[in-house]
Amino acid sequence: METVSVLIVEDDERFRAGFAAVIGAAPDLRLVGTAADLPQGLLLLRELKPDVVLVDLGLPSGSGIELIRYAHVHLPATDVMVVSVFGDEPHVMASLEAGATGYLLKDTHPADLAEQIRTLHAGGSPISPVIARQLLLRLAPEPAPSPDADALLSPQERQVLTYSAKGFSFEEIARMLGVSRHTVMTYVKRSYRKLQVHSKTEAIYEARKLGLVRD
Amino acid sequence: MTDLGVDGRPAGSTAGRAERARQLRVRAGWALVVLAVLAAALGLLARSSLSLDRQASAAHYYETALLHSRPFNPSLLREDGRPRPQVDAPEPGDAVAWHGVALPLHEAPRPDLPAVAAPLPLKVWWYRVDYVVPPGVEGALALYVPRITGGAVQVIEHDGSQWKLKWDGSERWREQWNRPVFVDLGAAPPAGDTLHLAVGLVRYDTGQHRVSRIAVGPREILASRDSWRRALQLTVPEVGSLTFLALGLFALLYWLRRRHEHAYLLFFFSSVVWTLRSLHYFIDMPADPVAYRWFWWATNASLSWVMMLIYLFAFRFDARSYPRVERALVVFVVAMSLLTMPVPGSLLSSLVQQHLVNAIVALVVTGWLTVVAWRGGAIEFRVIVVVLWLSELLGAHDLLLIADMVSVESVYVLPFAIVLVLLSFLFAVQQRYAAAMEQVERVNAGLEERLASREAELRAKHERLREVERDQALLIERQRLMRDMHDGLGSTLMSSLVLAEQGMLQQDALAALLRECVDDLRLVIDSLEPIEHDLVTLLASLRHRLGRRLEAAGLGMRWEVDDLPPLPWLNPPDALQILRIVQEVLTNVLKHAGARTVRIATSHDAEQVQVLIEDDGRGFHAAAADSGRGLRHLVQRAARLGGRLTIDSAPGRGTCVRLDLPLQRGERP
Repeated sequence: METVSVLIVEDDERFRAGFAAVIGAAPDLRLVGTAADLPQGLLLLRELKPDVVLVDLGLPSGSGIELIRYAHVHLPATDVMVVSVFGDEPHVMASLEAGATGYLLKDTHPADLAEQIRTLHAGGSPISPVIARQLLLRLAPEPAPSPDADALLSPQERQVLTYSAKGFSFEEIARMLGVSRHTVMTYVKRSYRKLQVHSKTEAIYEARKLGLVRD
Repeated sequence: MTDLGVDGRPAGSTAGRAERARQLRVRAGWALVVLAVLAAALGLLARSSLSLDRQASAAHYYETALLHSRPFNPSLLREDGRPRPQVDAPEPGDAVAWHGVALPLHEAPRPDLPAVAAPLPLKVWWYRVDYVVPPGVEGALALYVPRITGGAVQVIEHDGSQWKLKWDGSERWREQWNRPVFVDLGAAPPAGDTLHLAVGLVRYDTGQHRVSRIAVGPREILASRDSWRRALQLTVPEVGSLTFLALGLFALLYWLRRRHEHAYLLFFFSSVVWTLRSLHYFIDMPADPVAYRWFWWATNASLSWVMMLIYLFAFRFDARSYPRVERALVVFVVAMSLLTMPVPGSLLSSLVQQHLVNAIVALVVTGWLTVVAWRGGAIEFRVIVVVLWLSELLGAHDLLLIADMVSVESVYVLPFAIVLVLLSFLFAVQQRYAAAMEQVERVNAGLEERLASREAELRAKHERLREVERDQALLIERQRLMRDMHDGLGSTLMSSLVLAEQGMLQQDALAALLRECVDDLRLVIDSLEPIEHDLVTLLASLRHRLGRRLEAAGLGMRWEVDDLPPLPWLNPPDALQILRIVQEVLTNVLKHAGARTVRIATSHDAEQVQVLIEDDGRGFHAAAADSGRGLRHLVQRAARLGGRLTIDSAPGRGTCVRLDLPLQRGERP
């Protein structure tokens, strides 16, 4: 059976151990390494080229954003999943802009953690209503479409984000659109990719990066 | 306005004044150069007009002539008083009748005759020249007299048997004083032939007359001299005064808009009076004797009017005012005008006397103005004074011409002065206008500066205000967080800690307590998320948080939210209250209702929005439950938000909690 290789970059030992245990227990997931700080994380990332990397934003030796950006630029095959305490908008948006396509909360149930890694690797991403709302604001501004055509959302993507912003679950959205839950999640992931393209064209990118350095 | 200049730029004003003074000095230098060049040009013109009538090879200027004078035969007068074309001159061969005189000449009035006598005797003077055609002269010949003044003029030619009238200027005797005589003589006879020509002048014996040299020669040469003289004597005064008049009208229009600027009105009056004064150079005089006399009076008296107006104009460009001098000038002008009136017994009948008085007054006033101007007058004032001196010189020349102290062949040059006066007036007006513009610019600059500084002040004030507001908001936020920590998270954690330390807490209970803390913390964070006053997004966040847990507890969710208009008052503190209310209702459903599904729906009307939380659980007696502390607490919270919470439930019929919130809300007390 094909396994998904996972790298964990997390400074908190308890969480690191917890994640490692969950991944170790899943037969289709394979833990290839753990790192407690940014240099080590970057080193392992370059060496191991994992399928999925779990990264904490608040690393002692530097922001996780740097690692996300590195992975996004140099390892297109690697999915970045940010580990966040609360999944609040500033952290998540900054991570998404840097190149992450998934995020999970630190208190996520172990079964859900493994499932989310699998989904991400298969091409689906999670989203919260607030993030969906932000994406709509950024990628589908109401008065006029952005001149950057690549960054614009497809009608389906837009639909998914609109329903997500209103609090509908992936299952409900899938039913309403007549597609599978997985398809809905791939629309979300595609939206994230467009956000990354779009963000590079915006000065906000830098501002957000700077704002994040505080964390 | 003036305080702008003072408090606007105290440091720069000295440098500005110095710079302005320097510019003025440069301009004054240029003005003087221009005036000097103009004066030189005028001098050259005057000289060239004189040299026009210099001896030339082909044209002969006679400096002697043969004179025959006699009383005019009244039978030769027509009814209208003009001489008939019959000629009453002696034959050229009559050696006794003709005697030689030098040209130019002045036939002065005879002191033995009374100035006024009736009937006035008429007399004729014939000035004869004999022209021997020199070899090489072919084509048309002409006779030309640069100036002959004092009477009606006729030119006659002897054809070998008798005198024939060649040219009759008797009709134009009034204008004769300033018009050269030019007579076509036809084709030249063979060289060596002699032409006998005579210029006749008829006048009252009481008068006087002057005759310049008489020229005979090729028509071409003499015609060009004649036209040059006409240009200088007629055209220049005409063009000069009409130009002045046009600019005067312009000044009048300007004055009509700005009545306090008297200089412009004086400019206008100067131009009108000057034009009146110059009319006699180029128009035909009135034929009526009374009108003719008054016309001449106006012509000569207006010179003093012009002088006064020019002086008054000049005064307007000095910082001081001279009301006494101005009054004295007015008195002088009125006196001169009265004294020279063409009525019996007028004191100043002689043109020379009249203009001599003018010249002396001009000398005194200009001299005084010079002192005033050089003791600190404005540059334009000084330029006007310089021009006045030049005009004085030109006027003196004309006075000497009238008084026969300059050759009668010279040109009257006072009309040329008007060009200088006009230029100096324009310079003065331009200076004043430029100064006004500069002042406006300065005032504008000052205003802009003040505006900018006021803006900066406002900005700074606004900034300070915002800072205070920000501080205030931070303070309120801090207090809110403190209260939340204290009441919610803090106390739960504290009690959990105490219980855990006392070993009185099972692991499950501890986990539940901690979970409660984390949930509350999450509510706080959700309330701070950027939802931009959208209640649906807020509720959606809550669902996103709790969805897994409700699912795990076997509670299905029917999510039936509709778009809601934004609630402007929905800020984090209120958002937190709403989240707490809805979370508590959901917690109650989980704990007590035993429901299988919960339905959350939103709707709105013109006044408010509604959130419905409906379960299909066991329900309860709503009336009895009113006393329940938890529910009462919920109702109070909703009321604090400006909304209303109603609970509708009956045993076996589920529970429906409805939260009404206003669309608009006044500031909370």
